[in-house]
Amino acid sequence: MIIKKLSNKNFFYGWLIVLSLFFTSFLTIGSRQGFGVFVKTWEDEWQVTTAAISFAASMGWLVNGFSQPLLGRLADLYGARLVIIISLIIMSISTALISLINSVIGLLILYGFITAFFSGGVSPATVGVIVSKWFVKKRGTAMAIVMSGGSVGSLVIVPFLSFSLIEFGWRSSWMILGVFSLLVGVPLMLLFVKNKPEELSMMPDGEVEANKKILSEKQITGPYFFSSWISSMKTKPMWNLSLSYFVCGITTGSISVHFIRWALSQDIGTGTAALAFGILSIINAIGVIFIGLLSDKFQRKNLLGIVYLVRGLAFASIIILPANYAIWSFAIIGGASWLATVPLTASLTSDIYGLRNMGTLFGISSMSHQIGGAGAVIFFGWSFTKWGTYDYAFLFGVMTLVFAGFISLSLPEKSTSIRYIKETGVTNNAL
Amino acid sequence: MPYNYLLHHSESVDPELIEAIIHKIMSATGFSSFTMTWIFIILMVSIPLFIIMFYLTNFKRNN
Repeated sequence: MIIKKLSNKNFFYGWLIVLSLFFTSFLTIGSRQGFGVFVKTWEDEWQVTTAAISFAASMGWLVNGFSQPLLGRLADLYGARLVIIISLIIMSISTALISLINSVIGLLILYGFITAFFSGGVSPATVGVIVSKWFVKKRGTAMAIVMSGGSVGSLVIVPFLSFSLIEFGWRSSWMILGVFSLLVGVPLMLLFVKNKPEELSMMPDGEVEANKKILSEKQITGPYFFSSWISSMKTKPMWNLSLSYFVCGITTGSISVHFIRWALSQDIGTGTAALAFGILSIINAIGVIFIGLLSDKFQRKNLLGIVYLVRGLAFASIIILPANYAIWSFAIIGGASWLATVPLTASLTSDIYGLRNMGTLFGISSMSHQIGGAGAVIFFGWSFTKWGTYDYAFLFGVMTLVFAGFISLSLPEKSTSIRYIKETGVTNNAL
Repeated sequence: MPYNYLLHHSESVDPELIEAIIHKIMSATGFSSFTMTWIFIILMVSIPLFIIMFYLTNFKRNN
């Protein structure tokens, strides 16, 4: 019925690419997040400490951060499709091989280094390059749909791995996931995803032929294009975007680790935390698409600023409200802002700097995100140990989010973005 | 350090939390873990199937 309905409309091929990249995000993020499902099993089977296993995960977090500018650069030079396909193949094989390991060293090599490194090749830094080439007017929506694949992946793959662990054991679970990714995810990428619309004699957004030359040239160079990506680092928008994304890393990284510990310290049971977590995930998946749709109508920097300020409100509610209310307010308010920063930051990067260096530049922002997250995890832990409360750490979170909100709002989008700069013969469709 | 991230970009899920979630799902649905495994496998497979059908019904015909 749904398919019949869809076939009545004339769909732009770019949406097929968005769906395929949605599935790639689904596989990549879902499988990486599934790691936590197996921690207790590995502890029992290998007789190792949580710290030893978490070392592999934390190494993976950092390796993933540092790989993104590098693989983003390769995507700029050789095409994002090639980088994504090779990364997905290696990730799939590495995921399947986890089923064969017998020690933390194996986990460190396969998960902490190989999978983590190549998941940087299937990240917004590379996926965003393809989406930006296929979409100009609906870039925000398209980017948000692809990113929401990660949220859906976590809602489906993580529970799948949990039930599969009970039924088939951890080795079979990793093998199933790796083989599924290799046999289904890779062929979908090979069959449907193309680097740019010109490869199929098409135009971004399905535009008409008359605008072809103008749109393509403008889209590739961008108002702030520099032949060397290093020169972009000397401009204000790049600092606005990287610094605010750094704060995004600080606040998501710290909450990710310390929110549950905070909940437990406030006598909130894991059952309640689980329900709050489910609500957060669902709102997260819906919120990112909603923000994506809005971002094609309004100034993206305003939405980005609002998202950071809303997240700041969620942080403030943890300090102000009693814990049994704070957990719900955080799930609802925080959930709405959790993932929305990714499509907005990626879209703004391509709007301002064009597409030639987009993988590199967004990869650098992503690296700053990961560094911020890793540092904040340590800082929040230190703060709790020193003062016996998370209040000061959460207050720090509020302050950084207000800072990120204002620097995002101060981004000169109207004078730097392709959506607003009018040049002779250039189509401008943004509001 | 961080093995127990909430879900944002590529962080790992908290093991205690996922155990509580699984318990909640099973008590809410009343299904066994075997049934739940297959339900999630069907969900996972349905996405690429939908993409292929989307292609076949909208683009293949035009070619």
